[in-house]
This record gives sequence, C-alpha cells and structure tokens, in this order.
Amino acid sequence: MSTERNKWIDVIAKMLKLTQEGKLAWKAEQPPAQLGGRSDRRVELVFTSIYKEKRLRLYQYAFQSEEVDVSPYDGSISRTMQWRTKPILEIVDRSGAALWKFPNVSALNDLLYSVQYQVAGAKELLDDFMKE
Amino acid sequence: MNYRELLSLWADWMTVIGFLISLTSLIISIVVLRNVRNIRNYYRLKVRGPELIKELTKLSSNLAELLEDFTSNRMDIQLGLAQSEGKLRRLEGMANKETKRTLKQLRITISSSSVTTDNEEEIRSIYVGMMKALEEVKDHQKDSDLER
Repeated sequence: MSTERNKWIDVIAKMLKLTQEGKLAWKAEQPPAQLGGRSDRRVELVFTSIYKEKRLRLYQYAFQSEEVDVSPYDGSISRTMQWRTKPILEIVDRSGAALWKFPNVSALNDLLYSVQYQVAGAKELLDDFMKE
Repeated sequence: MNYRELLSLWADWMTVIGFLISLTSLIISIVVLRNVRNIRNYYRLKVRGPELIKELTKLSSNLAELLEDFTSNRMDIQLGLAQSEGKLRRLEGMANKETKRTLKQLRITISSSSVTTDNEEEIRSIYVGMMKALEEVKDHQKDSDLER
C-alpha cells in the first residue's frame, strides 16, 4: 500500500519538477459540462496538458459536505454544510471524458499551485516588476 | 527424610517458585510499560499530531513553491528545512517504531544537507521524502484510531 502510494508521490513530484522547469506546459480551459451542473459541487477552471500523448487534466474540485457537531454540554447535534476542496488529476480522452483518476496524495495540492503559477504567468510578472 | 531435609527441600522449591514469580512480574511490567508508552504516544499523536502534520504540510508546500526559483530562494529553503527538522523531531516522539524510523531518516538527511547552488535535486528529494513521511504518519494516525 505504502509502496504503491510512494510511487504516485514520485510521479507527481516529477510532474511538479517538469512544470516548474517549463517542460510540462499547461493551459487553462473552461470545465466541461460533466463537471458542472450541480449546486453542491463546483469546478471553476481546469488545467490541461499533454505528456507523451496522454492528456492530463488537473482542477480544484469544490464540494459541499455536511459537518456534524456534538455539543459537549447538552449533547445536541448541529449540522452545517461546508465547502471543501480537493485537487483532482486525471487522464482524459480527446472528448474530455475522464479515463482514470490519480490517487489523492497531498503533493497534488503543490502541483496545482505550481500549474496555477505557471498559467497565470506569475513568475514573468514578478520579473517584470523587479526590472521596473 | 528427616524434618531438616524436608525443610531444606521445601525452601529450595520456594526459591524456584519465587524466582519464577519474579520473572513473570518482570515480563508483565515490561508489557504494561510498553502499553502505557503506546497509549501515551497515541494521545500525544491525537492531540498534537494533527497540528504538527498541518504545519509540516505547510512547510513542505512552501518548499515546493520555493523550488520554483531555487537559486533566488536558497536562504528561505534553508530556513524552512531547519523548521521542518524541529517539527519532525517532535513528531518522531509520537510515532510507532516503523514511522519513527522513516521520520528520523528524513530528519538526518535534512540536517546533513546544505542548500548550495548545485544540490537542487537533493532538496527535491527531501521534498518527496517529506511528502512520503507525512502520508505514512497520516496512515499511522488512522490505524491508531481504529485500534482504540
């Protein structure tokens, strides 16, 4: 189990490195219809890339989940709905249908951040500001 | 067999029985001590673990961000690694034997590394090591919750 998980961490760390070095280019796209259309889940933007003829799609998946709180004083139960997020990386086909989803490891958050940084052109912006 | 010999034989047997009872008590004490230590570590992990894991996750994410521009961020990387080292040491004290070994190994790797212009790969491998160690700690935490 841990060896399998470690393998995915290695793969995602490699993707992170390639992204940071600019060898894996990502572009922002509007999310396909199948990822939207429900009030309890939300995807604002997806990032896509092609690596060795495989199409990759990465996005922040926001979903509502119920939080149950038990009061330590009177044992009363209160339920609230909260938005949670998790990064999702998947292999998709030409039509955008998900073929396979990568296991959820925390390194995915770092990859997503790095992809957003690259697509937004944050580094170039910082460099430009520093030159002024 | 006279009275004196009978008494001597009885005393010998009592010595053997006493020795066996002492040995059993010692074994029980060791088992109890180990269980107490496991329970103490479980509660320490339960109370302080989540916060330490959160802090280490934040530090490893910072490290990933700083690796965007390794050369310019070397000082910050060095600082982040030093902070991680301390947190790993604290987490070590709460972990089980196997996880403790992983954390210790990572901590030693961090303390023996220095952030120079030509060792970006080494720092990247530390980042990967941190990710793996954190996942292992989270698994250990889940297993401990199931056992209790």
